[in-house]
Amino acid sequence: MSPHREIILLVEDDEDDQFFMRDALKRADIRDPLQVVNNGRDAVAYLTGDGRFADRQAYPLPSVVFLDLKMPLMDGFAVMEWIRARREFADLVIIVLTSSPEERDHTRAYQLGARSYLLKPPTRETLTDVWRTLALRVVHRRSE
Amino acid sequence: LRELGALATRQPKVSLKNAAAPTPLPDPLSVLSGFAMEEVGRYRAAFERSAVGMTLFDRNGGWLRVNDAVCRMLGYSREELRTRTAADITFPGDAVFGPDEAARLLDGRLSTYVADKRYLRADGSTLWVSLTISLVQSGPEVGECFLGVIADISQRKQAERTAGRFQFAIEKSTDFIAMCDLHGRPFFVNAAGLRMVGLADLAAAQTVRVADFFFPEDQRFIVGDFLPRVLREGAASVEIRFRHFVTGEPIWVNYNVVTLSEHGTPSGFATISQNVTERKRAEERLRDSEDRMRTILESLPHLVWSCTGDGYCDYLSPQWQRFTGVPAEQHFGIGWTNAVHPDDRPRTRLAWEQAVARGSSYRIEYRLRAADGTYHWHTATGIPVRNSHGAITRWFGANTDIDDRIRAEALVRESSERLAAALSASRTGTFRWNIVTNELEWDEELDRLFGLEPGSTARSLTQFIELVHEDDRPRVIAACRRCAGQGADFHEEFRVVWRDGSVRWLEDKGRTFFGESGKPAYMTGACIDVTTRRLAEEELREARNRLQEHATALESKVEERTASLRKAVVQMEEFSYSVSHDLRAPIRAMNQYAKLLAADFGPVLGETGLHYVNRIIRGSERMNQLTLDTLALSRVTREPVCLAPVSLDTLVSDLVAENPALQSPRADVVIEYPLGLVHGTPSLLTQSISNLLVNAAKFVPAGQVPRIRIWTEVVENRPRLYVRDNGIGIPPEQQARLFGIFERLHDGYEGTGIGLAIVRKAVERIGGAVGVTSDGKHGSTFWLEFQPVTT
Repeated sequence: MSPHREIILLVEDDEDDQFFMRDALKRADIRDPLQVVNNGRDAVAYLTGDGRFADRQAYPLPSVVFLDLKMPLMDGFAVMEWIRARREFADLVIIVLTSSPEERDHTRAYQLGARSYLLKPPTRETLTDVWRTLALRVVHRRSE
Repeated sequence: LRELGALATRQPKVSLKNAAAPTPLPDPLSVLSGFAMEEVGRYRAAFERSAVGMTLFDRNGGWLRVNDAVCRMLGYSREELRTRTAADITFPGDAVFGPDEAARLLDGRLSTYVADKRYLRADGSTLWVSLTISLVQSGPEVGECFLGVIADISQRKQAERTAGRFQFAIEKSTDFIAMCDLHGRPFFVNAAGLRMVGLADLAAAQTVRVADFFFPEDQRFIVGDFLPRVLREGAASVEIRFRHFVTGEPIWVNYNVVTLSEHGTPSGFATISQNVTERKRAEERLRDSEDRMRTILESLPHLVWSCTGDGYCDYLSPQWQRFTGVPAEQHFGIGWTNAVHPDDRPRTRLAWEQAVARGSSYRIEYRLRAADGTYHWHTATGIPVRNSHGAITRWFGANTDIDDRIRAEALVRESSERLAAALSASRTGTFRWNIVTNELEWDEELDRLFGLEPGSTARSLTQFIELVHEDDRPRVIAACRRCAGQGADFHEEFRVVWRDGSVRWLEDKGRTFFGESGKPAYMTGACIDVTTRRLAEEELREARNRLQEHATALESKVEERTASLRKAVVQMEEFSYSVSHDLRAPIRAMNQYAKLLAADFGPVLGETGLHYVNRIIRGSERMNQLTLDTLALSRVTREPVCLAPVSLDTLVSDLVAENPALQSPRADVVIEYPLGLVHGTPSLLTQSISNLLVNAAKFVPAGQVPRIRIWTEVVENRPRLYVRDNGIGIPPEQQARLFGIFERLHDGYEGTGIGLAIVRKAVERIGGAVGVTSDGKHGSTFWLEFQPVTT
């Protein structure tokens, strides 16, 4: 559907949720390439190109990160803090995808630079909405 | 006096001169003179029988013939007389008719011989006579002879003698003696009188009038009043002043005046006036002195009194009357004792009676009632005054108000007794330290405090210092130096070691007093045993320390527990968080897969299969909602409360606008603005109000559009938000259970039974309340009560 291509990184430890995300993207007809890591530490390794992620052909740098908050080893907030501290990821779009309706999580996520805060499960409608705004961002950047 | 006056006016005189004053006797010689001798014969009988003594003398004064009267007068017979000459029986020195006198009569140099003389009578007595001798013409028969007439003038002479004596007395008298006529013209003033009033002589006196002897202010009385009274009554007297004619000084006289009369007719006045000036002056002096004395007495603060010799009070000074407020007369006699305090009265009377009886001086103290009814202590002192015979004629006395003194004495006595009692009872020792000499006076109580035998008193500062515990000594010495050097007061607690080795704590306070030079002179102070207090203080300190330890331990325990509680809360939060996340993940997965199953494999499943899948979906949704509600309740419980004014208008209208179920035409919601401000926390307000709104829209009979009305009222100063619905209502008997957790009263409606529990919890946390009214048929009205906004 989108004229532009995003590279999506899903950081999600739950396999069901990974499935529901893939299903929702498919239903929303979003064909952009999707990379999945199972926790925050892997997300950081992916972004820095550590280990197996050094191969950027196989693991290209994402433009959009769907980030779960509650994860083993390193949670979503820690990932956002890590990203925030690096200028090279200033344009990286972070969208929190969580099951927490907690106000405090919501607030903290925005404070750490999240673009959106989506409650699970992701649906076709929300993803379509998100992609529309992402497209606007690209148009906007090109016009600069 | 009358006689005297009469005599004085006659001025009798004995004179040998021819022009002598007339005699009262007839002159027989003149009768006989010129008659012939024969004629004499005719008269012989007369001669012989005459009552007047008649003689014939020869020229030598010899008796030729005497009549009987002469014999009677002289007490001699004729024969005895014939043998005697006149000189023989004449008082020696008196006149004697002899040849010389006869010769003078004969040659006519003398017409008549007159003499007053004394004869010596036969019995030796003398007789005053008036002898008048005339020459009888000589004839042959008788020859030369002289006729003598002898008149007995002894009575007259007696009178004259008396008058002379009076005259003498008058002249020598120191009294003022004078006479005047009825017109007040003096014709006699004696020498003393002249001297008294400063007149030079009688002539001077005769130039003035009686009135001139007096002061002008008295003259009218004398002339117009006094002298007429004398005339009327014959005599009168008055004490009055003469005025000295030269100096003008007053001369007080006792002016005695009698009427002079001649032949029964008043002819003038006579006076003998005594000079009483001295007496008057003495009286005046006495009066002055009395006045002065009285003035002195009455100006004294003392109450002065006087009594007669027998103790009868007859004078009380004005001070007495002022003090007692009782007229003096009522206290005369023994009446004054009525003003004496009843308790003092008997002994006061007794003392006074004894003093009077013994004539001893009198001194007593008693209480005397003052005009205001209070009693004042008085000292009464009385002394007797005795006459020359030693008899008491008067008592003089005075009362002194000693009330102040008595009171002061009583006060001093009481206060020193109190002080002594207090010092003794409190076992306070006192001392006086002479800073200059270092001498120390100290009492027996102090000995006891220092563990010494009473009386073994320390006499110097050094001795005192030696008694102090050696550890405290430097501090005490330093304090003493400060007192002596800078005049500081002394306040130290120190230990003393008694002989038995026991240690006592003493507290010693002293005040430094300064001498005239401004330097510290001495210190007085007191000392008490504070051992018990010190011990108590120590115990207290220990107790306090123990308490402090306890408190510290308790505090750390509290901290510990608080920390573990905090930890528990954190863990609880973590748990809730995990629940919200981990618990819901499988539910969501179940729900999600079921939905996928229904969507992607519906035709394969068939109707029954789809029904089951739908039951899974609904079950998982209910499970999800329960989890969310539980989390909401726990969030409401943990939510920090921060009260601030919140506008219900905005909050409620936003809540209504955000909830699709409250939008027309699905629901009919009426908000009655303004709803006003309440005191609350927005999140908790939101939780409570939104749940009520959701319920109001939910519990309506199927097919009925919910009608919701929202308004506020102030009930008992607190704002209440009302939410009224047209729903199914809540039966009154169930309303009590309504706000409990998991209480679901209605079947057929989606719900977890947690919503109203959240409402109650949220509103209670901001100090409010929730309630409902419903008849169970026609809808219900829920209300939330909040704290008012305080201005």
